Parts: sequence; structure tokens; C-alpha cells
Amino acid sequence: MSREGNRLRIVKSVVIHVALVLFTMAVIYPILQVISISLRPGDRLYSTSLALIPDGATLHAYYAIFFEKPFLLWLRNSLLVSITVTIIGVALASTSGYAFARFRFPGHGAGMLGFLVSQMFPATMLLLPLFILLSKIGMIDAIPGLVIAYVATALPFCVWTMKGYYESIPVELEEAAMVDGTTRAGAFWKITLPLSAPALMITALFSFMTAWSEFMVARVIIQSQNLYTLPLGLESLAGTFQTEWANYSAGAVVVCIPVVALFLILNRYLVSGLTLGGVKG
Amino acid sequence: MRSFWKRHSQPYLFLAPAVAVMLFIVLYPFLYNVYIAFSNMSLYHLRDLEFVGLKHFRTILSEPAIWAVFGKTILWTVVNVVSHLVLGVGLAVLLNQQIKGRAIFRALLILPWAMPQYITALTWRGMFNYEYGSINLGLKAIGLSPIPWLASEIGAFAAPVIANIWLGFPFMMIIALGGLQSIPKELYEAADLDGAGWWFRLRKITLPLLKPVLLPAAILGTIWTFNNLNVIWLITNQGEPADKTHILVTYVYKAAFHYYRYGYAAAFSLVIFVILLSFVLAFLRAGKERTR
Amino acid sequence: MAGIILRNLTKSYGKGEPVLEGINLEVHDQEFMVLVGPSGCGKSTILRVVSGLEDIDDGEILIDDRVVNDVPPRDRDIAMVFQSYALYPHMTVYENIAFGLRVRKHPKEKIDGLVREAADTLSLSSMLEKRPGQLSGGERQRVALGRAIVRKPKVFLFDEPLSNLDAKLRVQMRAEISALHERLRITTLYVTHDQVEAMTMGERITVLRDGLVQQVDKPMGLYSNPANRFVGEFIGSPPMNVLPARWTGTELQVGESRIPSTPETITLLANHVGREVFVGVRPELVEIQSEGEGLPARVELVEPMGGESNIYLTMGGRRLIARVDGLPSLRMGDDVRIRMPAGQAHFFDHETERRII
Repeated sequence: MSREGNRLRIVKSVVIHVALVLFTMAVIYPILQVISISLRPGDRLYSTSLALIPDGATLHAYYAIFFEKPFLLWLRNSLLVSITVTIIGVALASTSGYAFARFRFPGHGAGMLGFLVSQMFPATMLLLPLFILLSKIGMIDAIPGLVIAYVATALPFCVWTMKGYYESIPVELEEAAMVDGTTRAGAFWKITLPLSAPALMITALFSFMTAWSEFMVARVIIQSQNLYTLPLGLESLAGTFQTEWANYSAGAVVVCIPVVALFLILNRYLVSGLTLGGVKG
Repeated sequence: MRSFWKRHSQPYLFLAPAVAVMLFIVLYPFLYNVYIAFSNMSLYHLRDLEFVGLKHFRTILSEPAIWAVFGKTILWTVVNVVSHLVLGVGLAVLLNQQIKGRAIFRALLILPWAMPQYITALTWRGMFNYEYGSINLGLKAIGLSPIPWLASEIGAFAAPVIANIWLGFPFMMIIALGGLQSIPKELYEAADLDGAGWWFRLRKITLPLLKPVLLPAAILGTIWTFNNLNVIWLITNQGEPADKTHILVTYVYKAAFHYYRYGYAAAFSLVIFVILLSFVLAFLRAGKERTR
Repeated sequence: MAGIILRNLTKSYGKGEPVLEGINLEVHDQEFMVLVGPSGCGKSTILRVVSGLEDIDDGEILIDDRVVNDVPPRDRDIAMVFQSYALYPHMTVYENIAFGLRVRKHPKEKIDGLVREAADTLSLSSMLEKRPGQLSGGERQRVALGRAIVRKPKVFLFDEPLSNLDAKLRVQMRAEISALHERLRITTLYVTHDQVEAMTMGERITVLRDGLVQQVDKPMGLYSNPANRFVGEFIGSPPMNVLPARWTGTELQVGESRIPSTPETITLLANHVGREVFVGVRPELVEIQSEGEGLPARVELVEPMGGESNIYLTMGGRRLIARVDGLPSLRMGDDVRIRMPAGQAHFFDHETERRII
């Protein structure tokens, strides 16, 4: 390669690197901002400094949210809702996904189409009637009502994912099990499910995340402060007129740590998981 | 009848729990929504419902303000999705090469997507604050005058757009990265031998081969962006100033849960759904034809 | 008495052509019966129907004199070896073999004994803790066999188990499976598309075509007395030469040439004087001479197979194959003379293609 060509390549590489670094710094700036604000001391909340580590940085806000604010209460509520949604979501998606994958029956095509179409519902389309219906049966402002709403939102995608994954497991394995002595359900339980672990994990994660990080639906269904989930609680800290920015930021950091950690760990499976079931459409 | 049951009992049993749930919390509400749309349900009329026919739909189609909201929604969606695609694909192309620290870049650039939307939305709102937000502080620091982001109509539209672009490009980036990895290297090598420049390679090899992967992602992205409540709601603080920064979905949300115009909101939801469905179908058909 | 009886089996998928049309078949107790035929003939369907993995539209299936139409696979006391082996990837070899016993809740010590016994029979004892992903094709095959024999079922079902193996392994496994059958004497229904496999392994063979039974017989019976042209051409390698001809009453007229016949043949064909027939001659019986009496033909290809050679010829526009010992000094393009002994030929009716004699 000519020396000129080489030089060109190096210049190009340097330019790309520099551009990427600058861009990435811009991208993560908001995140750093949150951490920075969470460290601000009480008397400097409305600061006009752009420094990332503020003068007099303190961890007081973290202390405050755990002991002065009902953060733990919000955490408890969020966990309760999210875990319930996950369990129900996985149970329902794994069984109905199996039915769609393995059997042909009247309603199969309609069902699949229905799942797809329901992805396009605007938020209020189900939220409004659900709100009214739940009010009528007294499940408004109650954890079960929220669970119901979240399951309705997350289920279609989960069924789609499970169905896609099941289709990659050879039917012969289940047939062998049935000849060996299981019923169809037995084969599903002992053979298919264990082999579907990756897809089950994606379904569980998606269900959990939907419930954990969701704000607008919770806002409609939950009104009592003692039932606030984390999103509602944090938003109350970042309220309209008086913004307890430091506390809110501390809470945000705490909430984001598990989410981001999970995301980074599963980074590898993201692409394959998405193309496996969902995105292929 | 009996042989029908015998042949199909198994799948139906497997489906039974999920179907029961779906019927109660998806299908029934959907139908109920249709019912409400044709009634006069509101805060004043919760029990004594009357059938009002197409009244709400006529209102929707005739109010001029609504057309503005519709236009804003289109603008919102187009600007976002195009930016997501350009940024996402561009970054993916860059990251697909032998760059040092590729993994770190990838991990960091995913963060906007990884974080919960409500948190990032609230954070951006803080950043757009006129006096204390870091964006204006930054502008001042380099000698420019601060922009009244959330107080002016245009600013209050631009702010969520910027925030949402930041939120949405990682998804496209990941999809594009996955797609790039399945493009065989020989194609690029052949192009190199033919003396092709990077622009040519991008246009003739990369983009066409990415299309099958990008198309479903773009459709999903369009649906999600079109229906996105969190970002606009939280950043513009429920449509400020003066309800001028709504997109369709936030407008309906407010109508339903702040103004209690249930019948109206239900009808509107249906309209939005039909619009979205038509877009997607048209999108799909256009995509299919071009591949032919 | 664990025989299999199929009565009038009929099956179609949806509203299409029937896959099985009134199949009647009987597999004797302890017999090794092979189902053979080209793709789509219905052999795998019969197997799956006997296993209970699929239903029939009409007819009866009896295993050990018990009607099992509505009995699910797990209660039919059968074992099946799949073409892809279908080993459970998340279980060890031991667990794979033990699976059927565990599901039926046999006591642990008994299971252990049976599994090790089966593993021993198939030389798998050193691999019990491995997973299928770590095994070679032949080893996986044997695990599949182990899983089948450990339960000592009444019936074995094999669905083209050797198709995924390379040629050498295939020959070896054939022998092993046959030896296994000799030892265990369990009624076996074996499906294959390879007629060599059928001929070497089967005690009796059922030839199928398009959902209908063509012939059921011992291997040599199929070879020497094919019931119709299809069976004649299907069984035997290289395949039988079948030529259209005319029976004059005393000789066979093939194209321009005539082949004299034996007195027995003349008597047996008395009803077909002047009619068109198909005549079938096995390649081994075709004699080639450089000149002299016989039908004129031209050598197209000489295929040496070691101890024997296949000679491809054209005669009057028709393809013929001859099989001779050793390697004759023939070359492509040579003109030769062929003799076919009409006394040892097979005659098939022109319309029905059924065997005449």
C-alpha cells in the first residue's frame, strides 16, 4: 500500500475515532447530568454551573430518598407489580405461543393477525375502556388493576416471541417424548420448556421492564400515594412547581442501575432475540 | 362436532388461559371502546348513556385545531424516524469496522434506550429549563443567547424531538449492526476491486441489503414514535404552552383523563388507530413493491 | 403374540389426494418387516399412524390383537427411532435412555440396571455422562437405539434411521440393527427408501407406491417374482431392464429384433399372442458378445465396480444395463451383440403392468 494511501487511512481512522468519542460524550452527557445533580448539596439546587462534579458534592440525596421519602414503599409496589406481571406473562405466553406454533386450528390466522394489530393500538385505546371497566368493578387504584393493564400490553409481543422460538425446536423431540411415555403436555413441560430457556428469559425481561418502567398507565390507574410505583413516586419528586431535583436524580440513579446492568449483560442477546421472534414480522 | 373437538382439543386447552385473559383485557375493552365512541359518555354522563351516532367523529374531523395536531404528529413521527434511521445506520456502519474500543462505544451508545423513558424524559426537561438547564447554560458559555425552549411553541416542539432522537437511535443502531453482520464481506471486496468509493458501497451494497432488516424495524419505530406518550407529555408538561404542543395521542389522553370527555376520546382513539393502520399497510406495500 | 395388523387404512391430509388408500398389511410376531418405496409413497405415514403420532380417517390398527386406533402413543407399548434420532439435547446419554422409564415411574434401581444393560449392548457404557452434542452420528444413532430397546416394548418402529449416516457407517449399522433384532426378536416395522437396505435387512418386505401396497414378500420373492413392473424396476441394483415388446406367439419381438423363447414360456403366454407386453430382464442375465448372434447394441459407458462391471448400452434407441464379471475389454462406442434369455425374463401386461409370468 502506498504511503499516501496509508496516511489517508490513518487520518480517516483518527477522524472516525474523534467523531465517535465526541458523539458518545454528547450522548452520555444527560446521564452524567443525572448523577451530577444527585450529588448537589441542598443549597445549590438551582446552580448555573456546568461542572459535572458539583462543589460540595454530597450523598445526602441518596440518604434522603431512602429514609425521608417513601422510596422503599414505591420500590415495594413496583416489585410487586412487576414480578406478578412477569409470572403471569411468562405463563400465558409460553402456553399460548406453543399452541400457535405447533397446531393448526380455526382461529389461528385471526389470532396471529390480532396480536400484530394490537401492537398498533394507541395507548388510550385500551387504557380508557380498561379504566372505566376497572372502575366499575372496583379495581381502580389497586395493584391488581395495574397488573391487568400491564399484562394486556405486554402479552402480544411475548406470545409472538415464544411462538417464533418454539418453531425452531424440532417437533421430533416432542414426538420422541410422546412415544417414550409422556402426554403432549408432558412433552411440553419436560422437553420443550427447558429448551426454550432463552426465549423465556426474553419474555420475562420484557414483561418485567414493561411494568417496572411504565408511567402513563400507572398514572391513570393508581391515585393513592401509598400505592405509587417507582415511576409515579419519582415523578412526584420532579413535580411541576417545586422540583426536588437532587432527590429525584438520586432516585433515578438507583432505579437505573439494575435496568442498565441487565441491559448491558444481555447486550449480546438483544440482536438475536429481536430477530428471532419479533422483528421478522 | 366430536371429531372437531378431538382434533383441536389440545391446542385450545393450551390456549385457554391466555385466550381467556386476552378476551377480557384486550378484546372486550376494545369493543367497549367502540361502544363508548358512539355514546355521550363523559363526567356528566356516566350512567345515563345515549347513542350519539357519529357526533364525535364529525367533531373530530371538523375542528381546525385537530388538523394542526395531526400535522404535528406527522412531523413528529417523520423527523424522529428519519433521524433514528440515519443516526442508527450511520453509527452501525462506523462501529462495524475495526475500531478500537468498539465494545465500549456500543455499550455506551445503547444507554439512552436502556434507561426508563420517564426518567430520561424528565431529565431532558430539566436540561431544557430556561435558566438552569444545561443546554441553555452551554449556549451561554459559548456566547449564544439562550433559547426559550419550553415557553415558545416551536421550542416546545423541538425539545421533545431532540430528546426522542436521543432516545430512539440506539434501537435502530442495534438492528442495523445485526443486519450489517450478515452482509458477506466478499461483496465489499468485489466492490473494492472494481474501484468503488465508500459512498457507492453504502448506496449499492449496504443499504439494499439492510432493507429487509430495517423495514420491520422502521415500521415498529414508526408505530412506537407515533404512539409515544411519555416524551411529549413529560417534557412539555402535559402540552404546555396552552395545549399547543400535543400530538394525537397526548391530546386524546388529556381529553380522556383531564377533561373527562370519554366518548370523544374513545372515538378519537379509533380514528388514530385507523390512521396508523393505513400508514403501516401503505408502508408495507411500498416496501414490497420496491423489492420487486 | 405381538403382531401388527392394518386393516383398510385410509388417510388424507385436508381435502387433497389420499396419502393411504385402503392399506391392508400384517406383520407377524417377531418379524422384521421393511416398508420401502419412493418418496411420497406413504411409508412414513404408515409408521406414524402405527405409532399413534397421527390419526387415520378410516380403518383399524391392531397391535398384539388389540385395536389401538384411539390409544395415545405412550400407551401402545412401542418404541420409535427417528431419522434425526431426536435425542434430548439438554440431557445426558444416561438420561436420554432412562427418560421413558422415568416417565413411567419405574423404581430408580431398576432403571439404573436396565439403562446400563442397554448401554452395554450397544457399547455406550463409556459415554453415559456425555450429551448428544458431543457425540458422533453413529454414536447418536446408538443412543437412539438404546432409548428404544431399554423399555423392551412390543414393537419397534424405525423411520429411515440410517439416512443421515455416511455410506460406510450405514453398512455397519445395518448389520448391528439386524444383529440386535436377532437377539431381541421384537416385532419391527422398518421404513426406508433404499431398496438395498430393504433387501439386506428385511425378513419380509412391503413395497409401496402412491399409498398402495404393490407387493409383500420375502426379499428373494420380490426379486424373482415381482408382482408388477414397478416392483421389478424398484428392487435390484442395477435396476431391471424393461423393454416394450410384442409377443408373436413363438418369439419376442423387440424393435427390429426377435428373441426366441422356451416351450414353457410359449404355453404360459398363450393368452397374449399378438399382444404388446413389457419384458423385464435383470442386468446379470444380459450377455454381451462382440459379434455373432444376438441383438445389435452400442456401448455407451463402462462402469467398473471392482469384481464386476456395469455396462450401459443403447439398443434401438432404448437404454439397457448389463452386469458382467470382471472388466471386459469393451470401450465406449463399441458395437456389440446382446443375448437375453427369454426363458428367464419377466413379462408384464402392457396396460396393467402386472406380472403375466
